[in-house]
Parts: sequence; C-alpha cells; structure tokens
Amino acid sequence: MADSEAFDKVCELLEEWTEFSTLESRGTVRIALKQAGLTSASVRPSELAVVVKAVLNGELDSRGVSDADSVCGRICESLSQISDTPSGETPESVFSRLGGAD
Amino acid sequence: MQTFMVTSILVSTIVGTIVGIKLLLLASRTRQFPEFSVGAALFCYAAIAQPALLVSASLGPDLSHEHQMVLLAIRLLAYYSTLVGLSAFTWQVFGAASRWRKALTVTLALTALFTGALSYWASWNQLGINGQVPLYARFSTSLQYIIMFAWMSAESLAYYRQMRKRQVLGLADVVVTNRFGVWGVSAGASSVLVLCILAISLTRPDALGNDPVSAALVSATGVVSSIGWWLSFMPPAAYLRWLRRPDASEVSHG
Repeated sequence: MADSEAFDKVCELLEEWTEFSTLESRGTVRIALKQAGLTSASVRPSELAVVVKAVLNGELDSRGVSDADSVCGRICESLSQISDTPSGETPESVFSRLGGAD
Repeated sequence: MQTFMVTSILVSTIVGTIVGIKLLLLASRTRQFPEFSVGAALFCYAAIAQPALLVSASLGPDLSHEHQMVLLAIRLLAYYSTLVGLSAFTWQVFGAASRWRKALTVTLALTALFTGALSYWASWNQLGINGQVPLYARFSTSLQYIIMFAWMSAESLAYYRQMRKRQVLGLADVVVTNRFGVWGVSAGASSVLVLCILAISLTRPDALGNDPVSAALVSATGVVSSIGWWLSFMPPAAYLRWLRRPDASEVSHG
C-alpha cells in the first residue's frame, strides 16, 4: 500500500533539515507512527502534526538532532498546508458509524 | 439448567434481531457493505437460525421428516449466511485489498457451503438422527466458526491496541476504541466457547444440553455474544457516560 502524502512530505523535510539519509528519515517517522498507533498509508496531516510534536520530537532528540524543536515546528507548519481530507474508509470510520450517533 | 439455556437463546434471539435490524436500517441509508454484512449476519443468526433451533428442539420427535428437513434447511442457510456475513465484514473492514483475507473469506465460504450441503444430504438420507446434523458435519461447521471468530477477534483486538495508543495522544475517540475491544473480546469468547462445545460433542455427544457444564457453556456463548453485540452497536447511554467519565482518560493512560 502506498504511503500517504503527509508521510512522504515529513520524510522529505526531515531529510532536508537534518543529516538523516532517506532510509533514516523514513525509518524514524515510521517508528514515531508505530508508537502512536498509526500507519504511513492512512495517516492524515492533522494526525501527523500531533505525532511530530508528541513523539517525533523525542525521537529526533534521542538521535542527536540538536534543534529538534525547531525542525518539528517547521514540519508542522508545512503539514498545515496539506489538505486534511480523510484517506477513505478505515476500520475506525466503519466502527464509528456502526455505533450510531454517540 | 435447561431454563437457563432456553433463556440465553431467547436473549440472544431478541438482542441479535434488534441489533441486526438496526444495522440493516443503517445500511439502507448509507448503502455501505460493512453494516449490511454484519447486520444481515446477526439477523440471520438471531431471527432465523435460533428460533428454528428452538422449534426443532421442542417439537423434534413430533415433526414429520419433511418438516424436520425444512427446519434444517432454514437453519443451515441462516448459519451459512452468518458465517459468510461475518467473514466478509472482517475482510472488508480490516483490509479489503488484502489477498490473504480475501482467500480466507472465500475458503470459509466454500467449505461451509460444502459442509452445509453434506449435512443436508446426510440428514435427508436419515444418517443423522431426528434432523440433527451428523457429527462429522458438525465438526467441520464448528471448526469454520472457531476460525472465523478467532480471526475476527485477532483483527479487532490488534486494532484496539492501535486505537489505545492513538487515544493517549487524543487522536481516537474513547467510545470507538472501546467498541473494537468489546467486539474483539466477544468474538474471542465465542471462538473459545464453540471450541468447548465441539470438544464436548466429540467426546460426550449425549451430554450437550443435558449435563450442567455443557449446558452452561452453550448458554454462556449466547449471553457473551449478546452483550458484545449490544455494547458494540447499541450501547446504552449509561455505558457511554461511564466510558466518557472524566477520570477515564487517567485510568486508561495508566
């Protein structure tokens, strides 16, 4: 399954603004997503922004990125420019619908 | 114990029928496959298979062979629809593009069709007793149910774990997260209980419904499933309030 536009964008920016290789940046973002219970294929920009602030920041710190806060802030700004449309039907959207109006 | 058993069948019949109709009505509005498949599965099991089982069990010896065969055909078709509906639901919801899920659904559907036809043929030829499904056919049918429920449970609980992680970050709703957990536990319990029933019917075929342990197991299957359907798809307001209580997030975050 193809990765989402938001995921590709974050990996691209991380590669550009840190010394990470393509493999390292994609791997780091995947680790952060896994910790947040999300997948690279279906993550939305708004969700990824939360993960960047709450999880990726710490991951960058632990990998020796000195200006992790600034990098994450700039990534979030870039993410806000991507349209936050749902990536189709997910198990979450189906189960939400099946329970009716909660 | 017989009373408890009949009560549990009645409870699952009533709850399953109501939840099934609710989901089918939802499907008629949304035109989406998941609600149709799970709604039809619950309705076929609760509103058709269970009452047919009750009628068959209570009138069994008094019914003519033809009437027994009609009831058996209704039961088998309803059980088949339930199995196929729940398998298709799991496949479509947790990975419609996945090849192994599609293969598993098709395999379950085809083997269940074969087993159902075999059961009917054997009973028509009176190899079964009083319209009862022969033991070998019951074995394969139970095995298909065990696999289907275990699969459904594993998918739901795996997704529940992901949702819990999202919930910590405020990315998932507590009620929807809980729904995956309840559905997964209910399916898992059903799988284990069908396994127990199968073990009893293979080792002590006459014990089902007669001895307290086996009757309790059969009854527990119906009760656990009913609670699962009810809390998953028609959660009462008090349950939702309890899930959304202010200190719930602290508890779930550990």
